[in-house]
Amino acid sequence: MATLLYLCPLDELKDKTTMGVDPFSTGSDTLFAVYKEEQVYLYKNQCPHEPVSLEYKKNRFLSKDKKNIICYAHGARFEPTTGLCIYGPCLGKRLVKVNFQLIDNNLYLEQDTIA
Amino acid sequence: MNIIGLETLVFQVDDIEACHEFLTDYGLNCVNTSAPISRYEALDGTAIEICLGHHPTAPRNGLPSPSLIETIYAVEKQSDLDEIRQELEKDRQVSVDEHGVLHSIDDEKFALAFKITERRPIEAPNDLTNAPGHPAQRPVNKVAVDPEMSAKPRTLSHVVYFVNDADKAEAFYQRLGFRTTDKFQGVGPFMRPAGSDDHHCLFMIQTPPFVKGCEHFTFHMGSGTEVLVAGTRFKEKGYQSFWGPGRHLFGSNWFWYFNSPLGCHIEYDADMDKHDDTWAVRQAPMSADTSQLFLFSAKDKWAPGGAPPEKH
Repeated sequence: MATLLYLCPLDELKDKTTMGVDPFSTGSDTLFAVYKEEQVYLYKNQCPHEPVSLEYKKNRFLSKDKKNIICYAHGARFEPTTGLCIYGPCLGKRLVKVNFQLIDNNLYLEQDTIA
Repeated sequence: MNIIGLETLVFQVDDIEACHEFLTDYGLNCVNTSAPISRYEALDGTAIEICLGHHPTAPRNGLPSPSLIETIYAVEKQSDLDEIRQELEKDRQVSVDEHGVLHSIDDEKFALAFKITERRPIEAPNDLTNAPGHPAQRPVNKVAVDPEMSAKPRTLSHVVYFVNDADKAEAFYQRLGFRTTDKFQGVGPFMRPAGSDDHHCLFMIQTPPFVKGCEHFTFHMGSGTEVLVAGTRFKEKGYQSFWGPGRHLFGSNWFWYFNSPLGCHIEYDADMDKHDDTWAVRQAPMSADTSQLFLFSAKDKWAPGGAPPEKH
């Protein structure tokens, strides 16, 4: 059975659309969640171009129109549902998806699935 | 061609409100938000301008928003503009707008403009240092640290481009009177225009064709202390540090880079080396070791702590 780590309430993610989370208490958000078309997607907060965080400010991972995840380091754009880079220096590469579970309207990380 | 440095960088953006908040939190003064262009100035009047979608007069560079769309350089007099125009018209179009500003493009399709500077004198205190072995700069009973101290960007420092052919790009800027100060081998040159003694106001990084645009830009702060103060305040507002704080080797400038909603990084820098034409170009491979003398990594909590255990 997977070891679960609490991430955030689903309602808060719905409200914010994207959220950085720090389940390992590192002091910075190592994962981020996206809520799109009534689905949740969870990714490592690391660009496939360089191992850097994507957001420019807390929870700011998306383009203004919310159509793309943007790495605000060098401008790479990703599909929110697949993590595929569609523009920028890591074209064709993907964000790393992370497994999670939804229990009682809360989001939990499957800790064993993350390297 | 006595270009004295950067005057303004113009960006197309897709989130005006976010960029307004970002640039004012960075420390620039918003002086104009009348559509379609908003302007954010440093203490000397050098500035960032942003516009929603494409700028009405800047040439199109084909890059998606947000991105840098024009780099405006400063000169001191009309004869400098005339010289630049004469040189550029040898092999490319130059237009002159109603304000007398020249517009053209470089060999990498970066839009350029040249104008007579409107910089004003900087009114801000010097950061005085007391070093054993030398007369004290700061008088007796004058304290250095004030938690409320001002740390505002003073003047546009430099811009960094991704280019596909760094040698060709370097040759183009040499035509405009730029000198190469140092070089990262196989990457690109640090360059300063003839009218500035700063180590660089332009650095170029050679990249594959699908990597385009601006890597970062920065304003000079008054000192390393101001870089640390401004960067700390910026980080505390929730902005994402990318690299720093630290101190570079080439240029010797203090640095602290952050992600931004402008499509590139933004930096605080300070205390850059100054050079003249007797300086011999240094070359080094580009790596973390050759790019930084030292690097701090901020930690919110560096040691376990808490109340002492209760006595029984």
